[in-house]
Amino acid sequence: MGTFFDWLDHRTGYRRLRDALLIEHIPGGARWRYVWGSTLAFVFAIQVITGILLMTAYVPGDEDAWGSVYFIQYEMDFGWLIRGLHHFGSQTMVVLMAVHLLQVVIAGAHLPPREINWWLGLALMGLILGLGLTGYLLPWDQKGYYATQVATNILGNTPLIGAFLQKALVGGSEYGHQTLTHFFALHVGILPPLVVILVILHLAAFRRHGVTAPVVIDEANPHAATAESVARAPVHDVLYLLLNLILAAGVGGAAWFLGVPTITVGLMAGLFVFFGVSRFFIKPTVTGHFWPDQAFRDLVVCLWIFAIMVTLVLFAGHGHKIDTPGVDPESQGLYEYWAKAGQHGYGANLDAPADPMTESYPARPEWYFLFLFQMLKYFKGDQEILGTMVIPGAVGFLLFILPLLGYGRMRRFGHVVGILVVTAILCGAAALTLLAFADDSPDFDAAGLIPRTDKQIQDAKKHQKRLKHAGEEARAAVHAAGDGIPAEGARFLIRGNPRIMGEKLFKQHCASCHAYEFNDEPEIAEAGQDGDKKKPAQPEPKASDLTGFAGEKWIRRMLENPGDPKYFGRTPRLTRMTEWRLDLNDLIDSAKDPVAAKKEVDFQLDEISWWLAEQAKSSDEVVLALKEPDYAKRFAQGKLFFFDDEKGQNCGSCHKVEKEGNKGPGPDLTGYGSAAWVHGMVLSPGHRSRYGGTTRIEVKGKGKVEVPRNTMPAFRPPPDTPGDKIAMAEFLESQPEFPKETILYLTNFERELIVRFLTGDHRVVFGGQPVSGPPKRTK
Amino acid sequence: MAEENRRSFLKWVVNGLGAIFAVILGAPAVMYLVDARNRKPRESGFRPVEGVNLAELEVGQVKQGLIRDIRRDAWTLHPSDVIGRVWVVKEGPAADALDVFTTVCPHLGCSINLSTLGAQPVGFLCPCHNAEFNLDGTKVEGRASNPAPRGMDKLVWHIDPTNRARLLVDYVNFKQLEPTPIPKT
Repeated sequence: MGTFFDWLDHRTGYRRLRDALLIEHIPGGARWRYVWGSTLAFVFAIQVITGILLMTAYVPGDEDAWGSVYFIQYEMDFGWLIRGLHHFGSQTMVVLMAVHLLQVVIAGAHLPPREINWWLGLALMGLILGLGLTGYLLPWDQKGYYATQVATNILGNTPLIGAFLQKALVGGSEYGHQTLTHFFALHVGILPPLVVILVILHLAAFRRHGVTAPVVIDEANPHAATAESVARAPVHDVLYLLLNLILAAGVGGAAWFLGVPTITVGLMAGLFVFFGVSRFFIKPTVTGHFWPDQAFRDLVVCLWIFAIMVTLVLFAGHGHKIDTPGVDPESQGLYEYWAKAGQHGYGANLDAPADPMTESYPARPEWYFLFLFQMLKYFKGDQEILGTMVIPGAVGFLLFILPLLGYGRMRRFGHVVGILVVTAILCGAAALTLLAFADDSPDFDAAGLIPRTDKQIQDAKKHQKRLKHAGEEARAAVHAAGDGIPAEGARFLIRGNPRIMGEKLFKQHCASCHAYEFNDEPEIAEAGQDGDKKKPAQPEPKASDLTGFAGEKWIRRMLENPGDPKYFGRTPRLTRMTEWRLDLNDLIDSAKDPVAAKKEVDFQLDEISWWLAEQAKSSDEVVLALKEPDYAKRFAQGKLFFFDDEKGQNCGSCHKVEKEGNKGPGPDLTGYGSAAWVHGMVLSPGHRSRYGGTTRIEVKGKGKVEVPRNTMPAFRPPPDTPGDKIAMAEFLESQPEFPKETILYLTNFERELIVRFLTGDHRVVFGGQPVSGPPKRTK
Repeated sequence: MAEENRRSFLKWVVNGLGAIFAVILGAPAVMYLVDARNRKPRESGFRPVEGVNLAELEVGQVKQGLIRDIRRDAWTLHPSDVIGRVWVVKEGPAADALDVFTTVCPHLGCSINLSTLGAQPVGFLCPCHNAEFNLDGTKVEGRASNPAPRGMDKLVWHIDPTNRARLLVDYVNFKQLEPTPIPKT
């Protein structure tokens, strides 16, 4: 082995390179507090590794970006872990930068002759924040999309060149493919290499003057400190412990406040406590080396920080648990469980797909930009630029000139000012972050320190409600994505989602007449109104209640009392079912044994309800089920009760089912409650197979008048395309008596959404856009 | 000497911890990179051949048809997409005198063309490396340059019992360069 490495060294001289990297003298010895720069390099390395892994699966395109991130997070083996480490790695870097910054000014390491290295550090800080900003957009989810809009609009507000810069960066005047390709290129191809270059310069400049040790260099040996200067008074150790305890409380407290899991907070605070205590056990030395003494400390803290990142991935991700079809978590092996732990809710959050259609999305930047976000609230109109550019610019400038305050006799002054400025900036940022959180939390007032008006509390409540709604959309999108994402883009997981858009369209088009029990949250009342909650205002229904429409229970209750307002009670032109029931009641009452007759009728109606509810199933399903003898028997019995005059209720005298029964006057119940039946009802409620025909009603001053039985509007596709034009013409021709003013427009896509919502079919609607093409060229 | 021992011990600890970390991050990374092993090949099943009407197919005629199915491409679902093409050769007057071949060349996967003399089909030729096949799908023998490792891949088919004009085919992708057809996994 030895000879091989000798051979290799002879050819390459690798040992010289290795020694240049590893041999570094540390006068005064290795110390725990010198680790921070290394931890940043370590986490950056993790970011590069996980970032390249993510690149192997990510697509920077409008339709596919979200889907590819979904796939990484929920379906690829350990994708949740890779993405989680990358996501929390960026936040870890921001925290470590703050700690590194603070530690540098406390040590006075920004003072001459290290000014240039300070400036390199500031530039690196800007680049890292830029990486955070560009990375936040890439999943193309709602929060990244809307938060980044704010950032690019701020850029657009730059005097003179803003509009141009914004357009160039965004790739046009709206977000789209090229926003993603630009941000992706910045995030993976431009900023990281710049970071690498600056880190190399940062390290080289650092090596030029070495660590800023609080010791006096021995005149006889430039690699060693004098023994007197290394010796420490015990009071220093106590002060150092105290400082670390304050940091532990500060960092831990802030993390706890931000909702970081307890175990992570413990690890964060524990690190500082460990630093503070370590001084009591480590004897000071006059000389020290990077390899292996400092390297050991660096690595221990790096791994500690890695452990913190892992706890964040495991416990702070707020990922969405999903049930994957065909996967039973109970029977999953250990490997499968952890490889696909994203499905169990581990890893970073993925919000709903970006969609400019969303109303009032509660956009917030990532927490480490919240202080900038909060500052913008204090400036209005043309003063906005104070918050977006002038103040951040001034702070940046202040940081920039800090080392210049340390020349010559000002050194001590410069040191103190440095500590004060950096502490003030960090505290100011922390305070603004706190205020931003307070603004969004209805019950947070920092023990009365932050006075809140009722209006602010209302707004916070509204924000929380929107946030909850956004969370539900995210869950719905992730859930639906498991079945496959439409090629038109991930946003159609929401736009085509029956549970979300179907319900919304139902409210818009159907709920003005039909009652329905929505699972709605009470609205939040405006300030000044008594009571915090009120039910959403619903118009007085004019037609049946469609909750559970055509289900067994719905049918059974309807048969029990068709005149109930939930069924035909509100539609006075539809009277036949009510009349039928009254006749049936008379029949029961006049029977010899009314109790036995009632029991017999109840049993028949139970079975009819069940049989009729089965009509909603597809014929394939029924054919399959009929192979079961019990099912076949019950099915035949229900059918008998439905049609038979003697042994049943003779429903066929008014209703048709498949080829049996009469063509009217009751609606055709073939496939009753199925999607096809409901489509027919929505498209053509006055058709003879639905509620066609006429009835006579009493009109004041005119006596009995013949009117159509149906009063429901027909919801037809708008005649925008030639095909739909023909369909509309055919409808008008076939039902000339249909009142024109009750022909309303509903696209095929919208109708499908409503029907799926109503029939409990929650699959996403694919396609369905009207057939079209680009506008014609005009030469 | 104690100092030397301490340093040597620390070096081992640093290298050891580094190695442990490399495994902790590296093992999931490798499993992530080879995740595609989890993607299952398309389930076999009979699908109608689009563009081939058996009632109109004449003896000796060769027609190309499309196979359509749901296509799941990682996260994207295409509800109805073309998943492949087939050559249908009508060999005789009997209803079942048919051969169905995939258009994918067994050599290196290019798309095999029909070669004709005038309007008369005479065989199949792959445009990439000139793999040549007879009309019955067998490899043309005795040529100095026919790189085909085997004949064209026959697909299992049957005639739709409810619609005798419709041909149903079990479309399969086979491995290239093998002497016998082996389905891709």
